[in-house]
Amino acid sequence: MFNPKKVAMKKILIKDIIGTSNAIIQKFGLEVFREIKDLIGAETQVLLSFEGLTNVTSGFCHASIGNIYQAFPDKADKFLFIDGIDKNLIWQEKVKDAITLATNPIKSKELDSAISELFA
Amino acid sequence: MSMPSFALKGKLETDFNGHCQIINLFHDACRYKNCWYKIDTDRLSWIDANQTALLLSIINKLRKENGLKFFLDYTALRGDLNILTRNGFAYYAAYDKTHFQKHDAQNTTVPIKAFKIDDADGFVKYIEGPLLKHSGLDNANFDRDKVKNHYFEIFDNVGIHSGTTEPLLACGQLYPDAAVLKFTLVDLGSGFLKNISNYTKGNENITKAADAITWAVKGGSTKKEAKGGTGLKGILSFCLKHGGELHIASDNCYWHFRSKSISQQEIPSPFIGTTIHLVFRFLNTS
Repeated sequence: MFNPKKVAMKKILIKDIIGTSNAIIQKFGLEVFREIKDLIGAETQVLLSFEGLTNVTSGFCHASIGNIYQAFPDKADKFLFIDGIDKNLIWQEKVKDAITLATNPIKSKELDSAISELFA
Repeated sequence: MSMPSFALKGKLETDFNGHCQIINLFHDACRYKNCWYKIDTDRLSWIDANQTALLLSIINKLRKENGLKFFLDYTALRGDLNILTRNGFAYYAAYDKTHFQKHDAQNTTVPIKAFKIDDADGFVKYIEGPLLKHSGLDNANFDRDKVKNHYFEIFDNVGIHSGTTEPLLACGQLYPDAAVLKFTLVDLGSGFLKNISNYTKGNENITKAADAITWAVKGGSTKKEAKGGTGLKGILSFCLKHGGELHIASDNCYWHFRSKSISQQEIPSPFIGTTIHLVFRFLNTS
């Protein structure tokens, strides 16, 4: 029986794809998405690593991770793993938001109550 | 030799009136071609230096499209107006650069700078260096990571939405005594309304600039290649929590969040593109 733990996970360093430690623009996120989408599509486990990055934005996360979750809603959770964000709460939040926006766009459009009051 | 001129007057701050004064300069100057044009600062008592990003954007456009040569009287740039020479604005704006320099030798100001829309490394270097490592912030208590992230989000948004390959202009200004950091980013692109109006046709049908900006700040996004919309919303949330301000001037609307309320004012004679001001407050622990 297929045992995922024994399958070699392909580790991909974001920094190597985009050529900089500053993952701050959508264009870079799209480069990452293009690099890994065929692997995810072929059900290869991918460890997407944030090692060596110094800056990350929401726009980057939406274009990379978010796009994977949009393109492969049934496979992303099983085949895409994220590494290198354990110590960075802001990055964790951005990755989580990107996944939420891709998988539950209605939820992500909810405004917190403080902001809602501004527009009331 | 007489030349056409426009007088900047009084205090030119980061607000609707400051914006309109600068835009009025553009609308006056664009009537002229291939001649000298004076920016008269004799009656200007103060200028928020971050506003030079918008001023220089206008000057660059007029220089390129109307062939104007700008004159700045260096003798008038004294006292508080000296900032215009120290942050590099006067050097880049004036045709005759004899009395001006690119950099402040004392390194006490945040320089004005232009960026290509995909120059991520350059922009990061500017934010992490001259802006956030300014000596005036040594004793400042604020979340540097969150603040710089907000600047990066704005930069990315502009690159995606502005629809222009013209450089962006950025400038910051620190006010240590007031514990305030102001930052301005200007693009000469299409503004908020065009993209949002096209995107919402047949749905929310947004046709006014004020509504377009509000839509974007609430999390709306016209991005085609990825989801989005969280950048501006996150900045607004940060400003709400920490007493900051977000100003967006686009098409004919000056949209402004401050002190837990939003105002929208109509710009009588708009300029192209978008100007965004971020005003952050910090605690000075010195």
